Amino acid sequence: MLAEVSGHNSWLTVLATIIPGLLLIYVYCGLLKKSSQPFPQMLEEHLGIAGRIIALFYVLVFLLLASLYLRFFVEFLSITVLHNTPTGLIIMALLIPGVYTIRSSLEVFARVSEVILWVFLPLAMLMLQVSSTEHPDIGNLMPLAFMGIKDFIYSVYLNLWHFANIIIILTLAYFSLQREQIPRLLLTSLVSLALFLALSIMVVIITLGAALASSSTFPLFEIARSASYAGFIRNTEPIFVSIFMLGLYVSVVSFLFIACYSTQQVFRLKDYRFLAIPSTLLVAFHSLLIGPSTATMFKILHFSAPLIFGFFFVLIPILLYILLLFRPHKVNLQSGSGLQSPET
Amino acid sequence: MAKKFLITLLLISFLLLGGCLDSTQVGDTIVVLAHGWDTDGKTKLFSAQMALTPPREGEMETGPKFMVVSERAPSFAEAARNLSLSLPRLPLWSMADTIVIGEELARLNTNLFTDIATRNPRIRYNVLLFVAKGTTPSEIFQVEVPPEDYSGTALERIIENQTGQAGIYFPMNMKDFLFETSTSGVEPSLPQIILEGRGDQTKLKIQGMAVFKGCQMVGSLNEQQSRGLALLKPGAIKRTIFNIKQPGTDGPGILSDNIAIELTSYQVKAKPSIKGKDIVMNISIKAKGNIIEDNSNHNTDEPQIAKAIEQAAAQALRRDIESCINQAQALNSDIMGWGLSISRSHPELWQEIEGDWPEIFAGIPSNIKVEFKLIQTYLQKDVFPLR
Repeated sequence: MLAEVSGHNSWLTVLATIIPGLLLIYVYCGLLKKSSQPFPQMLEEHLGIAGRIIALFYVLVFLLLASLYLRFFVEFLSITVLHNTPTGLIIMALLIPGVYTIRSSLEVFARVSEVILWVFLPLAMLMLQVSSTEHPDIGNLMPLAFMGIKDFIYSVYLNLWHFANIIIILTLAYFSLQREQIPRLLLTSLVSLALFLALSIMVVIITLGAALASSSTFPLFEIARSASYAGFIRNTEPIFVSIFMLGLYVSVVSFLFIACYSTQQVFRLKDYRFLAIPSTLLVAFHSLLIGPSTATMFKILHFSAPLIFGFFFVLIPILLYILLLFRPHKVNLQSGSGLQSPET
Repeated sequence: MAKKFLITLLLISFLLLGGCLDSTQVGDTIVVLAHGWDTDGKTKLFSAQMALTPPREGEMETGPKFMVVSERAPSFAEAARNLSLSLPRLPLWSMADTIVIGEELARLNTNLFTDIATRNPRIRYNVLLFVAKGTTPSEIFQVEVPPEDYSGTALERIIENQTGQAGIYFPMNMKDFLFETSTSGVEPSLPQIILEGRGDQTKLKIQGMAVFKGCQMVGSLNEQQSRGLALLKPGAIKRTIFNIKQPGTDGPGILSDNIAIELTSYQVKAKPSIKGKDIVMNISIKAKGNIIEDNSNHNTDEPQIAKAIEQAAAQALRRDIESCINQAQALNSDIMGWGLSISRSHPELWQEIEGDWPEIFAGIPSNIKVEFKLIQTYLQKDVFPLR
């Protein structure tokens, strides 16, 4: 999708997105300093009843994003390896462990994600390394940085909403024991995400070229499909799909968790864990209803998603931060001290 | 208790799934070795070479080792599916490593097969492509190529092996073909297969490269031109053999004047030199090689002789490259990728000339410099000393 706009310079636009990403981190850290309550309760803390209404919209946005990721995953699996498997089964395969994780507590999810990261990263790097040996042409990256300013800005905008997924830190930070380390952690996450994404796109462009990459539905899968280990181990794409599945699991469950927790906050419920099953069912059905075809799904990802999530994850936090700059607010440091888990 | 019961029930329910719903038993499948795509002008002709089950251990091998099936339909997808009307097993399309394209289809429109090649998840980007010259893919699949069991597999081995032996042609896979088809400033070329002989003596042979322009095959390169093209593509071949006449001899060559040179490595750089709108392609090749057969009567120990051989070898390589460039310009097809090279080094100029590139390409002069270094003479220091 990115290659359609910025062609062989897509990887550079990802690196360039670090700059607005830094601004976003600055805004998020500022909001954390100026708020006593985790997100989305902080909206009510600062904006009163209007904030509570906006928080309700955020619940819907988090559910929408979880559905979008889930649908993308289902499309990916049914197109690539599980051609005849009913989508319902694929959704169940992902959401059953998801429900279990959310019901088990935030700590379980955090530990599972940690394990997944260490499995995901080496396998993903191996896949990229092997794929890049299949007739690579470094010249495909040339001419460097030759693109229109309009395309450049649009590409950065397309990337930014993915980077803005770190908005979940506005909630999770309040359960951290080392809140002073949050800015450094966010910075590390941003840079490593940008580097990993840029590297992946670079390998795709070097291996396939910009024209093929932009016309392909899943270019990373294409290069994984043509990868050959030691010249004779082929057909290894199910391994790539498994890696992808792990990453998608973390994405979907993150936003499911935030949706459940936000619902608890908005409606002043005692616990959020019992919301796991109804929220998951909502996400499952919505992922099926979100669009009738793959083409619609990609149109949503291309046009609607950056707009919706850009508005909620980038614009509103920035506006709130600007508001707080002019309206000093007394922060109760005792609240959300990081010693209490969201389950208590 | 209820929780444990629920989990047990859930675990048992997974047994009912029997694995993936699209799972297939190996015994119900047949391995596809190669696909063939062709047309008769009205419908698309799809053919496939499939491996038959080998005899069990201890059994005599008597029957055929492969079968060739063909179908025709308005689309290749339908033709392939129609095979199920007569084939009792499910073909494993993704196992195929070779695709042979009929000349008629290649000349008609490559878009007729590029879409299925990119859309179908069962066709891999690393599958090798060939053009059936003067024959059909189906006829090529019928040919036996001992000691290989299947011509589909043999084609893959032949093209790979010759890059280090004869070193004339280079393999092209689907990804490279699609890249060159979809990227402006470069046109694809594919190795051609012909059939030689008749009846049981029929054998297949790689001969020439099919040259494409846009979405059509527009002509071919001969052996000399194909080697020239390979030399212009870094790493396309590992070694090649070519002949020169003994330096200092004029007139028609005789066998005793012949020196066979083996090229063992080469580096190529092609850079456009641009002054205003005047484009000249500067091609520089640095090659190394050995004397592998020498029927002349000179003394290669002498530096002047060695130098003369090096110059003659450089001249021979230069002739191959010039011949390739002349043919490509005559066919108006930028198979060398000069346009791509300009688009990378001078993107602003490329934006201006991209629309008129085929016409501009045909008139671009080239400045070819070849340096050849003689490295070894193998086990003989000099020519064999005759009494």
